[in-house]
Amino acid sequence: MRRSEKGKSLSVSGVTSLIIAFALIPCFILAKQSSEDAKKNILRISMAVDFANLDPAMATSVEDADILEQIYERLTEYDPKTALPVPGCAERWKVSRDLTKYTFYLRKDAKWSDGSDLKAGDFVFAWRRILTKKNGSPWAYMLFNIKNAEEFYSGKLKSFEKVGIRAKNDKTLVVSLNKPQPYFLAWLSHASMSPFKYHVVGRNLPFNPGLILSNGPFIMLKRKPKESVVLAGNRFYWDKDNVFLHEVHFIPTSDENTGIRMYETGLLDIHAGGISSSKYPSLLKRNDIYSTPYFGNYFYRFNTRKKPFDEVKVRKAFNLAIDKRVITDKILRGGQIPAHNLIPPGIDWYDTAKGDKFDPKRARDLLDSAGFCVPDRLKVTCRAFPKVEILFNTQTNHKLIAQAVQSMLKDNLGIGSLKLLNTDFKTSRAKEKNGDFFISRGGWAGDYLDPSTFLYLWKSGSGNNRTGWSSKEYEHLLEESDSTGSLKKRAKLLKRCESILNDEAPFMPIYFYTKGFLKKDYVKGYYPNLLSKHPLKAVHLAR
Amino acid sequence: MRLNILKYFIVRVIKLLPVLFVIITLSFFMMRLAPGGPFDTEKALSVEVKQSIESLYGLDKPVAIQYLIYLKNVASGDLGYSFTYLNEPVSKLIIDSFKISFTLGIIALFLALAVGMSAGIASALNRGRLIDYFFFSFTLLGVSVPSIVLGPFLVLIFGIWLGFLPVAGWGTLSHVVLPAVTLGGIYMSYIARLTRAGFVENLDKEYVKTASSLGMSRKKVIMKFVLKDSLLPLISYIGPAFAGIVTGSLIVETIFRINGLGTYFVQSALNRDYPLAMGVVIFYSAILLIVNLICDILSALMDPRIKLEKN
Repeated sequence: MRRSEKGKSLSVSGVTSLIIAFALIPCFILAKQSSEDAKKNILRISMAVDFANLDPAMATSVEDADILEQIYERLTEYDPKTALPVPGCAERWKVSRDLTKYTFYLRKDAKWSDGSDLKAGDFVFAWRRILTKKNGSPWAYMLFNIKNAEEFYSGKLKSFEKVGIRAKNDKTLVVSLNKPQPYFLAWLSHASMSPFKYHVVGRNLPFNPGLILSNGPFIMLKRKPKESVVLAGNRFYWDKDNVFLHEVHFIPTSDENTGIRMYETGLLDIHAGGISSSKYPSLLKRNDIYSTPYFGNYFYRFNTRKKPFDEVKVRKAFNLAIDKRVITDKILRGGQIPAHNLIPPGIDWYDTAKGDKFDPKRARDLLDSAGFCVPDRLKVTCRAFPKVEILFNTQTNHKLIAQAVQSMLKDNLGIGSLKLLNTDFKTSRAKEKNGDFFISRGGWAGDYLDPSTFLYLWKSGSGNNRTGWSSKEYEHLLEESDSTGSLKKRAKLLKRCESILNDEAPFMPIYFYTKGFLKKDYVKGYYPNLLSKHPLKAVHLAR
Repeated sequence: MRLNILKYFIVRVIKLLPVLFVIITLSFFMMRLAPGGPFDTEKALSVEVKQSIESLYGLDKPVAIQYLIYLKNVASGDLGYSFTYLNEPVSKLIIDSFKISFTLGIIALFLALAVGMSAGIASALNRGRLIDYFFFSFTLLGVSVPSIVLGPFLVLIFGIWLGFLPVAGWGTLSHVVLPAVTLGGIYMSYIARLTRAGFVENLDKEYVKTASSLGMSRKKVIMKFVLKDSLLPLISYIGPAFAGIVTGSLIVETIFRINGLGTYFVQSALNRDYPLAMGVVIFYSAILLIVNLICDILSALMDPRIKLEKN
């Protein structure tokens, strides 16, 4: 009797203390998030991937470029609304009649963040860093149209004097090209084209905050991996009176939904860290979401060196058998555009070459004429379709799209021998590089607003081609388009290139990307555009 | 006895070194066997550029030489620089994030122990009663609901609907609550079940009956005998659990945007960031080995039948 009473009292006290403990936890910590950030004119913005390498000559990720674009100012800058080039620290420029010589006049009042003058020589120094082979800059090839640049890079030319980048005086930079480069001014807005100068004491650790010299509207205050990159206004910036933000916090959120939750509870002013397709349908009803076309294409590469994709008919049949609208409307759901050609819409002077649309009957005809067995067609001799694979790296959407493609090929072409192969990103890249694949998922985002950024991909020497496909005519046309000064003629040549791709189908376009972000109403001056470039210089908070 | 333990401890620590060496060697070569390299991105680098980057990081040397250099550096305490984060020493990345993971892990573990043990004891003492079933269902839920579900669920309730806890981030006490509960949840349930099982088993033992029949109060019997004996299985569970919980969890850190060690674990391997991945593996192994050693000693102290190995 006594025993059970004791037992009961012990358990009851245990349970009550438990309940109290649970109840106390939230009470203890009713501390609300401080609203101080709001008062101080701080913009908090999420990014999908953490910063990695903030050396302008080396950075390749979109996120690193987003940060670098704020702390450096290039000769030309992105227009916040159109992403087209507008004057940056070059006040104006002159182009020679043969379109191969550019003279840039730097602003007299442009300065570095230590108060020293920005000189034309700082551009020469920066671009020489890129063109010095042992520095390993991934952007060197983009400067190879500059006179003698490639020769200097490869070591054929020892002295930099002969390279076509010259500081005529402190504020005048002259760049000589081998042949006209119609998108040269657009390319100059790219983060890698920033000027560069070492801090007096910072030659060994130049990328530590405090030792980075900036010539842009912001300087880097601090950065911590996986935590944040904090920028603050640059008091030596020539246009500092028109910079409104005191600080900018770039916050990496590797989980899209975490970013959205932070935005909803006021911990972010802009969520630019991606929106998952499952969230789109509910978010698209709101007016603080911006989901607009992006200059990028999602596609499948065919390995044209491997049977059966060495046959154009097979590649085209695959392309015709896929209803891309189902993929954009049922899987992605963020306003993506079904793609039937390479170059995304949006460049006003360029009319894209229309490719094949969904047509299962034509697809079956083509496969039939290639000698493969097609359902419902009685044939005495036909080949069974061999075992093939779609290679893709781990990601929910990649998987859903691959499954959709698999089932459409089965329904429309009767191909049941197609398997899916899911690996991590590095493995699929290695397989692609070694030609160890049949069909492989890929994507490309344009580096600058010009069709050529997509068309160069499929040159035979390009490391990004990876399909084994090449065409002399294609390369010839592309070369010709580079050296013409007429925009109209160029558009025509580029369109012919694109048509060749439509006819030969070394890859299968699936959809054109959109970029989605959430933005609070009080953030002004931050616009969606085709390149998703957001100069924060003119952004202000109207709370 | 005390001197013996000290001696035993030192000998075991020395014996850990070859184990660590094997771990380093295996993971070094396994890492290199994985296809792709640290500088493979969607945008292909030209062969020349790739070569110069690789020579910058010493990847152009034969793997055997790289291995020897790495061993030499590790022996002198140098874990190198990350390949992903420019100019960030691996040791700094690990220590900075470990501080956070450790804080969160300890809080989660204490929470799990306090709540789990109380629940386990309460169930055991009330075997077959409502309270037992209540905790049983509760712990069943705890074991089966993964943190990837529990985390967002708690955030939805306390962060968004009720709105008094931050949905993500780190820095103040209020930031710790939800991730600690999420992280501790599964451990809490295991601890409750282990405690209950241990108690139930021991409550029926002869010596408990004898002590009670001799007039010892139930409270005293439980505190003095049952508790100590029932905790033995718990200790062998806590060892590895401790190492796991203080080195962070990818899921919890991602949901709550916490700058802990868990994300490095996965990301560094996926990015083929060799120095960081190796650093994390060495660090985790060292913690696991030492914690296991401490648990062995604790068990021996609590149960005289377990003998420390003679050396």
